[in-house]
Amino acid sequence: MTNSLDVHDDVEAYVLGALDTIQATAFESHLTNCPDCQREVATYVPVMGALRELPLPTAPPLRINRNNVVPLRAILASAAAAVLLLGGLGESLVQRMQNDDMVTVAEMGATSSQQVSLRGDGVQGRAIVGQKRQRTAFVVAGLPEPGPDRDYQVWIDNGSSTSPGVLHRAASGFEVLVVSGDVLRGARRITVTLEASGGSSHMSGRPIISGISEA
Amino acid sequence: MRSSRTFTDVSRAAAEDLTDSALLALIRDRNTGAFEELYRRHAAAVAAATRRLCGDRDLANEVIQVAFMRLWDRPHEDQQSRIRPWLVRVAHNAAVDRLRRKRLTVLPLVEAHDEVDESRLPDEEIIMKEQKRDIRAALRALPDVQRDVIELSYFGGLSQCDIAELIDVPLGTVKSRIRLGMQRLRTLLMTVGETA
Repeated sequence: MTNSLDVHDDVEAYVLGALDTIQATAFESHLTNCPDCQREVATYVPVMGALRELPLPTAPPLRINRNNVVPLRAILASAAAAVLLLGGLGESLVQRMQNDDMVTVAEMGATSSQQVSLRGDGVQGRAIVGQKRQRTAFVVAGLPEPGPDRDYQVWIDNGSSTSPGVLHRAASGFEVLVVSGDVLRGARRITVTLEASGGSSHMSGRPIISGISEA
Repeated sequence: MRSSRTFTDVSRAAAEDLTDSALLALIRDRNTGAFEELYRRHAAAVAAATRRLCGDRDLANEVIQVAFMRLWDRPHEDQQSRIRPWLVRVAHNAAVDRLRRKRLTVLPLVEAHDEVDESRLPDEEIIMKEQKRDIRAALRALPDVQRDVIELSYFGGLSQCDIAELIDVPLGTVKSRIRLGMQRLRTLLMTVGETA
């Protein structure tokens, strides 16, 4: 049996709500017959009232737009599920799914064997290696249009710098690249730069977004 | 033909009327409206419960995103009806992980001494000058280890057992921190109230 001294010590946890259900029930049972604890609990009414007045911090916004990594994942996961249900989708959703690469990315995102977060100033993205490591996808949200004679190019640093290709704008507004194989194998850093249209042989633009592979 | 609405969102108004458990069930069906409603309900509280550990807003925002992303990715595991404590645990662990990777030594939840250093005791006069009956000033005046357990419990909805497991200290230590912290908070507020 819990000794009464322990129960008296639970006053603060009780008023704070830090007791689990069983402990709280036990304490309330004790409280009914303990004037000392009743007085103690009453002294905490102003404290709890003050705590309730405490404003919560502002949470970061959650928006279904291309600048937020959560919606990005949410959209990809929704799209992956949409693939499975494609025959029964509404027209608007089918329109969202027109881009083949986005469908591929969605599928890969749902079953990936490796993902690397890519971050830049106001830009977020992800490198995704498919479940069987037969494909690698790069998807970036928040990039402005590169311009008529420019492309965003992906670079892999694995001791030397190589490029699997340039991103292209998907129908959904994401910049996407899907290539064969696991191009992240041995990679230390993934970087995206703005290069001449079609891509450069050597990285010449400044890094716009990058991520470090931990695999 | 199947309606796209069944696949996308419940309305905002409808989502507001649903319990956390019901929203979680909708998230299992990849319902973004339900996800947004859970975010609206809990994100600020998760931020409040983890902000001191994170130290800066960027990390705080990042770990909130991590927690909700995990909820979206795995909405079928052990959250059940206690979603907020689950989110706080995920965000807290993410913060600890990132701070460790940055090799920052700001983990008072685990490492600080329980003994209250007299030199760090709150100065009631300063608090009174700062703001009348300001609960924020009173919380700031608490030793970090006491403030942390109070915030994890009050904002995060964690029980003292949850907290002991989360920060890896004995349950008795958590109980002691809560008791001493709450007593100190009461004293501070009473003192300010009497002299204001």
